Amino acid sequence: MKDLDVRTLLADLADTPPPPSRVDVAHAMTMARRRSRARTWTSVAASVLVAGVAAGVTYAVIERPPPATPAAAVPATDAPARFDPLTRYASFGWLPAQPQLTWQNTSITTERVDLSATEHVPGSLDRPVPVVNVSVRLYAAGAVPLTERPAEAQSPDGKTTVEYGPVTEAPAVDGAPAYWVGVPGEPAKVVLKWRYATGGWAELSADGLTGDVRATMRRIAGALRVGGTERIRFPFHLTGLSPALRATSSQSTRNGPDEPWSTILDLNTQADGKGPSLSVVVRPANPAEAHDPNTTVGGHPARREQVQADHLGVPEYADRLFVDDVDGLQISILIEAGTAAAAEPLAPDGVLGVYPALTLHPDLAGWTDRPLR
Amino acid sequence: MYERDRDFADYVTARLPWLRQVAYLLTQDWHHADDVVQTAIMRLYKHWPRISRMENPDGYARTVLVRTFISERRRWGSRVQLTADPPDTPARTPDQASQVAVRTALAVVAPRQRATLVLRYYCDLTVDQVAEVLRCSPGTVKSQTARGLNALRRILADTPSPAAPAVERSRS
Repeated sequence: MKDLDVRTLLADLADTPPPPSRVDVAHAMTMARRRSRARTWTSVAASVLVAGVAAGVTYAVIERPPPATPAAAVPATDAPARFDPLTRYASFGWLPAQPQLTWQNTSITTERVDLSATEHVPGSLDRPVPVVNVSVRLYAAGAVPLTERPAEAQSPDGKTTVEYGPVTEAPAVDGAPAYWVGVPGEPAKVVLKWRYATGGWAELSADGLTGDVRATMRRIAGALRVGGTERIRFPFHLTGLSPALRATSSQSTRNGPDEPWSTILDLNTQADGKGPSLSVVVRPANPAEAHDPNTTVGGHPARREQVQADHLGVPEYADRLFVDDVDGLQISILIEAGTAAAAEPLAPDGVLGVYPALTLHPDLAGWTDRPLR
Repeated sequence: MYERDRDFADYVTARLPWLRQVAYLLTQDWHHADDVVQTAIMRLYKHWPRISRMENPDGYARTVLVRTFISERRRWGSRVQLTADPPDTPARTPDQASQVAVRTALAVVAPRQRATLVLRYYCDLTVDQVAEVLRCSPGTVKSQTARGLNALRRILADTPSPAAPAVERSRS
């Protein structure tokens, strides 16, 4: 048997049409965090979650510009150059079957706002399975939408590149240009893409909806509330931190399959989020996920882990603190930087220096919209 | 950190078809392939801050995938079934039949030999690169490759067709 024979046989075999994927990206991330006891993340936006269970391609390049839509007017307002992670810029105005779409996520970075609502049903392996999902993503002005990002679908060697498409006109959303964008490999699925503001794109995808899916998607998009100024409320606030730290992202979930709510606030010394970072996660305490304590903070058993590694030539430093039960809340504080020296200006005493700066607001009524003071 | 999660999810989602294909070649079973991929991306996630800064994250992902397959093959081994036609399977085309023969042959080849063949002939890695992935010497890669090819040849030769068409077609 020659090398060429084997190559051909394997290539033929690899081309076997795959069944729908059972890979769940969101679950893998959640499990990884739990196993590493980092637990600073609970979910991803539903678009990713759904993509994880979908077979085949999820993104690619739109090589041609969307068709012109002279009937639709460009929105008068400008899209923000960057979003404020502490402000709820957008929110759902209407959702189908609202009682079932209980798991709601709001994730905000400086570049995009993600909203998702998901219905779960009991599944195998003792974990809930998402069956219906609606996901909306708004991009800051100039940000490249996911459906326009280049990607290789079949091989990282670039052997096969596929495109989102076809792109066809959709009825205007709130008077703004809108398009249906096909998803390769999923003929029945489309993304609704529209200008929510001048210079800013929005994308809406849905899975598991019944009835006239496109009409439902248009209704969700049309009812979307954009331009909100409501401050996001947190069950904690921080005082006295380095003034160099700024909020780079936030995430809040409620009615999740695993927990009633969670909040995450990420701070960074650089606006692009690539500098030394501090993350604070607060969620309801869960005795089943308790850590083995190796220290105490504020009289509470806690676990601190510091890791300095040089992996594949890239240095990485992490300083984590887990406090499993303070007034019924679980707290996770994480500092990440290239080295311990790089992290020092962020918090000289590391996570142990951050913890005293944290004030909790256990009662929902007492949550604050000023998490940084 | 959330942004990092998003980047990771975007990366894995884009690479999912490729990861599943490689895993399928390793496991010969889509169900088990998805298990391997699921575990591999969980491991990838733990190291994502470093991987995302690497020049070749795909290479790292492939390494993690193959090592996951190798390290956990015992757990999955008992579930692997060699391909056999169920009684009511409709007649296959020659291409489908040859694929069944190749799957059967690959499934019989020892896992490390199978991984060697997939890395050498599907992923187009050099002997040294395969050695790095499998954490063995180049000499071992060469011997594993030779044994794997011999095993494939022997098994396919013993298969009463329709493996032959695929081999013949590849030579044309």
